[in-house]
Amino acid sequence: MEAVQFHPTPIVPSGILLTEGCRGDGGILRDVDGHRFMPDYEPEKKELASRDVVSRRMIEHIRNGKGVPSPYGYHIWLDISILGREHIEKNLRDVQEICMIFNGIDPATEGPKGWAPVLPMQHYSMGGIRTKPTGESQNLSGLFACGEAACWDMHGFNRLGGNSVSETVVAGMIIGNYFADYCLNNDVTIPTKTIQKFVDAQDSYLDEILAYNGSEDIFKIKNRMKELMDEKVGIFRDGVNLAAAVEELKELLQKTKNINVKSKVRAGNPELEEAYRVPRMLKVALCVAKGARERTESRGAHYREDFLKRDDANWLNRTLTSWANPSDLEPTITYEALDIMTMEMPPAFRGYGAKGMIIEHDISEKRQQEVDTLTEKLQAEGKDRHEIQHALMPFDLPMNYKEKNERAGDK
Amino acid sequence: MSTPKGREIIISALKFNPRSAVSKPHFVDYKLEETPGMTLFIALTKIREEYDADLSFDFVCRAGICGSCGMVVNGKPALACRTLIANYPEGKLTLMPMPAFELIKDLSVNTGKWMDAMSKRVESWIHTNAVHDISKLEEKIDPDIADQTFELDRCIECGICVASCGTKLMRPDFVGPVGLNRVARFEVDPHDNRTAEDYYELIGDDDGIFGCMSLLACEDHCPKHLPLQNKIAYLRRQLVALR
Repeated sequence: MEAVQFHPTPIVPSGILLTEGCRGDGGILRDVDGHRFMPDYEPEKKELASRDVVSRRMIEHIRNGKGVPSPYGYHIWLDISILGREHIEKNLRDVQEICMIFNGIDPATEGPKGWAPVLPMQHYSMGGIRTKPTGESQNLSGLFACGEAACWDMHGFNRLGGNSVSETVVAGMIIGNYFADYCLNNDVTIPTKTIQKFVDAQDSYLDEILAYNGSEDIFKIKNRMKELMDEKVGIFRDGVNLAAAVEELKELLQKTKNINVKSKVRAGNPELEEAYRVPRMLKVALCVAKGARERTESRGAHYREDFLKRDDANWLNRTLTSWANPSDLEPTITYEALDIMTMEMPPAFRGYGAKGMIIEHDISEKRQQEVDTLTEKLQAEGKDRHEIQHALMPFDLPMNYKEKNERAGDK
Repeated sequence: MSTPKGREIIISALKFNPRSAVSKPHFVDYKLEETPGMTLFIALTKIREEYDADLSFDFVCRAGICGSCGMVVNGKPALACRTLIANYPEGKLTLMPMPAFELIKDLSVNTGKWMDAMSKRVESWIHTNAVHDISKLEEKIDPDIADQTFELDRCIECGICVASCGTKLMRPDFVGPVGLNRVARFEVDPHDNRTAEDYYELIGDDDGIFGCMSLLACEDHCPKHLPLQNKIAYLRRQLVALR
């Protein structure tokens, strides 16, 4: 759960996303002097470096004293006016509308008046319910998850912009089919008694919350959690801050039992809803913070200033957090190893970030040689890409999804 | 970087719990200090956290995409998340729940239940018998037609058009601008094989396309600026020609 994506360009202060398309189409980032600074840091990819890189560079530039001051802290400018009014009003209409409604800025206006204030903010969780390739939970039969709720191995520790399509359309199609098959093949009879047991448990939990008679305020607990996550578990992380965050989150979790819900009504009671939800939010926050504290390396969106290298030798694994006992104050963490010898693309440097920042796993190279040898052999035998794929990393799909797709230009 | 003190504003919200035997509809005034860029979402959250934890209202995305936060602001239905306090020079905002929907409590209404019934009523899905082989190339769609479909598909089902609608007040079963827009969306989409006759069966009466009195507050208030006026007129022309 410690892999959290920050998007570079939500608007300040409302935090509403100005789409990737702004930079994709050619929009640029400027600092307090109006200077386009991304080429200084990333001469090749500039504003089009991956989201985690752009987000870090923006914060780094602000730390270097080049942020734009505002009542909400420092920010960076996003300039899309260079794309021209016609393009903005056709292709980036929603961006223009958000800028106008929330900030009174028309981003099609040339010059500083059209620049929108932006700052990286939390956007997406790469972690989620750990699933098998079918989308079914690894340890709870019949629970299927896809999309942001799932950890389906599409993203790893980072996520590319535009992958929401793969996630909604592709994962929806594949997992939807597996789920339908599961329902067809599994008749479930659940005794009313079993259902009643769980309803009763929730019922008495609500009674328990309404009976708390302490002095803490659930809204203040939630806002403190938000602050902690932002300040200590954010874009730049280190062991000292992460440890402090874990300890304080645990205290907050304890405090959720020391509140006093003012209205004792059981329906349409926003404070009760909050009192029910915030302990769960804190448990998720603890999964993120503790996972981040333990992971002493930098990988994808998880960036440790005290451990700058990606450490494939020790950390090529998935973090599994679970709550063995609901009353525990922190999650239990175990790790699921990844088998390099079954990968079609073993981990290596792929031109992402600076060179020399990876502690390589010793069998990566061995597997790469194996892959290369096998690929060359199969190519020499005249095998096509489907056959080569199958030899390197076989996989199953439902329906006829493995048939060779017709492509535009096929004869 | 200190923020200068903002003006004092008053948010006056209708409170009522229809489930309670003793609750009566009444307004409660909350005094707040305005902060730069403050939206109604920010103001209401502050009220709930600091003044009245019992005030019910709905928000999810706070960005004008989820359509949860429609409410009546100084007599006009609007998305609370996109309502800037600075645009109200008088400094007082009176909030009421949207009419036409089941009231849950205070400013919270059940648009979901209504939208679900509307979707079923206009059979809001692609009607086709075509069998697609996913391994084959898709049929091409004219980009202009795709754009037209997408334009109408931008509806976020916030319910503001329904809450604005004069016809809905007179005809409780009126399908609403959102329902007519939905029919227009499938009518333009070549994937859907329904004919004008099929649509006539769904909306060819006074609770459908012929009920609209063309007052057009729907288009005035639609936060997504959907072309409701044109589409309702277009559908009416198509369907009136059938009989």
